Amino acid sequence: MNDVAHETITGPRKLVKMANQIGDFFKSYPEETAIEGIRDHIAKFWNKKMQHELFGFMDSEKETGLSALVEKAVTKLR
Amino acid sequence: MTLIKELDYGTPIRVSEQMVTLTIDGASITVPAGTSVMAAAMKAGTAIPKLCATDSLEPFGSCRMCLVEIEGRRGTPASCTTLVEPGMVVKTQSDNLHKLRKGVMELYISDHPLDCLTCSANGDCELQDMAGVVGLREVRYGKDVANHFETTSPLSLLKDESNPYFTYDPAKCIVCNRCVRACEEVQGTFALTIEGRGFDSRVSAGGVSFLESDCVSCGACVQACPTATLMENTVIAKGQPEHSAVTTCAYCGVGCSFKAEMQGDEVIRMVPYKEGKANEGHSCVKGRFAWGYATHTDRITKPMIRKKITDEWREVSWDEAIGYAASEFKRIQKTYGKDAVGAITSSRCTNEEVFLVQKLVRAAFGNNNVDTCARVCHSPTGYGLSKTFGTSAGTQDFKSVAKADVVLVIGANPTDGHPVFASRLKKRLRAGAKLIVADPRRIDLVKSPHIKAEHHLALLPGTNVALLDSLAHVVVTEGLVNETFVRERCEWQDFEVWARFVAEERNSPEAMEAFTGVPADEVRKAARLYAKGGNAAIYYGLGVTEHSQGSTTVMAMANLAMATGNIGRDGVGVNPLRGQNNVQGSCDMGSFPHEFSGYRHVSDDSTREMFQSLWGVELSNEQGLRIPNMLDEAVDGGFKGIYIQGEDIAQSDPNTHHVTSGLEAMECVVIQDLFLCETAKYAHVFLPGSSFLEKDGTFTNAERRISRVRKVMEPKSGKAEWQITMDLAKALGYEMHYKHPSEIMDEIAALTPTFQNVSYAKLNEMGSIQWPCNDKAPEGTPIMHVDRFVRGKGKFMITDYVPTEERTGPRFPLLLTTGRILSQYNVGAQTRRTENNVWHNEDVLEIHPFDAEQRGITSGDLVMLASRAGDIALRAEISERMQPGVVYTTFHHAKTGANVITTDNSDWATNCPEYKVTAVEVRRTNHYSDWQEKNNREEIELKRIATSIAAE
Repeated sequence: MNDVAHETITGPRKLVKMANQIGDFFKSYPEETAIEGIRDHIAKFWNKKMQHELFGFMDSEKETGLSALVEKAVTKLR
Repeated sequence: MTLIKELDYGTPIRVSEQMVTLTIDGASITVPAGTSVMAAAMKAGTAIPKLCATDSLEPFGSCRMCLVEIEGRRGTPASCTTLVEPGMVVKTQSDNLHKLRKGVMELYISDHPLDCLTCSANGDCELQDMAGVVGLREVRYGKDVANHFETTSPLSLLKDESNPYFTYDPAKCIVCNRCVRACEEVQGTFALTIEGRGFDSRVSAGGVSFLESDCVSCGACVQACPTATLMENTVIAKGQPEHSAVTTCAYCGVGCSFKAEMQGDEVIRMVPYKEGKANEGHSCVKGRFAWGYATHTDRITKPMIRKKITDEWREVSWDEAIGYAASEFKRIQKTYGKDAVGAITSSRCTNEEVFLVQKLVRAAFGNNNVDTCARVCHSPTGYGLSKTFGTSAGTQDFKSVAKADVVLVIGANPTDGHPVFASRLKKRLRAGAKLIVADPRRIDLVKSPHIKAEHHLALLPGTNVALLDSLAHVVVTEGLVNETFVRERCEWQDFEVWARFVAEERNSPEAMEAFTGVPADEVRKAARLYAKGGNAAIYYGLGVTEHSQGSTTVMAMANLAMATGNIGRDGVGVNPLRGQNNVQGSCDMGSFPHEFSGYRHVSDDSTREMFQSLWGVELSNEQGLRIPNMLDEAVDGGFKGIYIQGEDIAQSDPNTHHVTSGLEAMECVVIQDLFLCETAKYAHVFLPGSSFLEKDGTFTNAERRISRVRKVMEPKSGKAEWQITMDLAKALGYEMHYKHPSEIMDEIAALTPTFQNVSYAKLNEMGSIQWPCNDKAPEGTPIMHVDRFVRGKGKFMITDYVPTEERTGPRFPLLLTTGRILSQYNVGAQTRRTENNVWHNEDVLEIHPFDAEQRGITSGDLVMLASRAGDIALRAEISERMQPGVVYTTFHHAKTGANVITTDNSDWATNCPEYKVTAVEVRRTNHYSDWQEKNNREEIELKRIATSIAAE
């Protein structure tokens, strides 16, 4: 069954996935509230290294895969 | 120390505001209305003779031993079934009563063997006691007729020794019905009956052996039996215990109170303690009987180290093991940085032990990289309830369910996972409360003897939020909101935003049916029942939390409870059924990387300064890594050392490949455990832990109840776990000075506002305490949010349904959901080392007949279960409990490797893994998977001990 072996995502791509999930929760709120909610969540629960890894990824990649809302929130966090 | 014996009032203690005064044997006594004459006499200090009565059971009135005389009444009424009345004048002793009781006793003994000296109940037999009390000196009857006890008699029946923990000896039975009634009234299983009529009558497990019957081995019948008819095998083998101590069970989050009954330092039996408020004298098969693991020969009792995981383990002194671990952690921090190490605390350890491990991380490691296994079970509970209500815990005490009129059980299987709570719940349901079950499987609560759920919402795994939003839609759009409650108690603006959201057509039961698979009409009826059926209580388990939207689901339940005003009084609430005994406690104790004890963020300067000043060390204000983040970092090369207290992440955590890759990438893994667990295969230092019988401390159960754990034997390794952590901290350069765990609790109380008034002295005085316990609530807090929410006003949160990324498709067309069963517990490290294996010795895959037929599978076939994460082989069991398209298994057996299948998807807010939804395929196979073969090899290769044979 090796053909189906799942490659676990780690590193920045995993962080993008996690950040987008947070965005999915807050997207039903008005944009300002949502941005603040996402920013606050990442600030409170991700350690600094994870935060910086995401910032670095945003700087180095054109297509991060982050949703527009999350990108705004993360930019505000920096 | 002596043997603790609770008073038996003969009939249940009644509560009433109306009091009744009567006279018993010339003395006046006042008792609540509804009390029996028997219980009133006992309260006055007079024990009326009895055989069929005991205060855990409703009065039965069959033995005729408890007869009394009442002025103005004819005859001699039974005191157990006669209720007190104002002015009643009762005589419990007279020549006539004496004669009658003696006559009854003589008849009983005429069909009972006179083998008291060699009987297992010798010294603890109510029949023997009553014969003494009535002064029985001779038995005139039964000499020339058939009886039940002589082996040559035609009425003689064989002993039933099929249950591994107790024996049924029909020869000793006096047909008092206490066991049958205990099975019905206390446990609610209805497995026992009386077979035959008149003199032929005997207790029976329904015409089959106890093991083959519906008996769940809770022990209630054994406890209720007044003779040696139902007796623990340990007592038969070793005799009666001579002293006991009250302690707390080390299994599930119900946290039952037990008397550990001892001979010297050997446990003879564990008997549920009547005064224990979590269980009130009841138990399940695990707590009552499955404690043999504590002295199992697999226990590792000497510290061990090795340089590489492929080396043999080498037994060393405590000093060498602690010194090696500390030097490795120091080396790693020097080489890779301060944040390259961390720890995991255990929900199987005491509050005091957990508190010390997180203290070690923050004070000695100098970072906040500490997490706990709540991460993988109830972390969404903490997050969701704190957002909506303001505190990270359930709202009620267990007793509250007795006042519920409607109970919504969602994502929990209490009869298997939390059996003692399930018995309380079933008792209330039998008395008329209505039940709604939301679960993909047809769990026992849906339909079992005298229980039938009003609605079974058999949703598809992963659609909890869709279901709860559609229930809320009905509440809002059909005018079922309790507006008075919401206006007074909640943030009105948030409510309005939420109400508009759930009222949208896309959240209607009709729209959501496409996702949940639950007929809209059934959802509408369930919502109306929940909103308008009286006191409505929600009980939930890991079927709620272990999803990508676990935290959202918790908030959605809180929204529903607030909207209908079902918060802040008896009989209502939102109640997590916690997995392990001290999950609540380990969370309370500051095990999370972002929080100190009492759920205060590490960036909060005033809180941190308080800890700094007491601990005398600078603390980091930056939150640390959570377990999944630690493993990700390890795989990426940045996290190199971990101290794991009593957790087996290689078996319990999802996506085993990823977990073991992370562990393999680390340079120092320190395991503190009872056994060489799966994670120990990847460890470099093994520090032998101590069982709950070997230490003092406290556990905090799902109802926030702090209960004492009391040492009844010395630690087998020579050290209790709090001492090991102290030694490791010292070797790391940070000294702690505690002489007893009570001093650790004093420090917890000094640093944690919700524990402010908690102390061992107060616990000894009150038995147990539900936090918050402080100046505002000096006796603790059974029910939370009574007049106001902890956060002030309740906050409605928008809970949009976001389907999980884990989808079925052509390659993986079925959904796997995982769970637990009654006889095994968690990773099975404890229960697999007991006789509980007779009920469950391997994990099986439950599959619906349709899915099985399509694949040519029959029960017992070996099948390959494959997901995007990996594959394993296990036996199939065809079951109509499942719905088509959904399969189920447990993760109790390491050799199965159920978590090889689960993925690393997780809750958006807390990273709690999505154990409950994995897309899979099932097909017949004739071989075990590559992972299982490798695991079997490593079971030997990675567990070799140089000086003795590997243990597990």
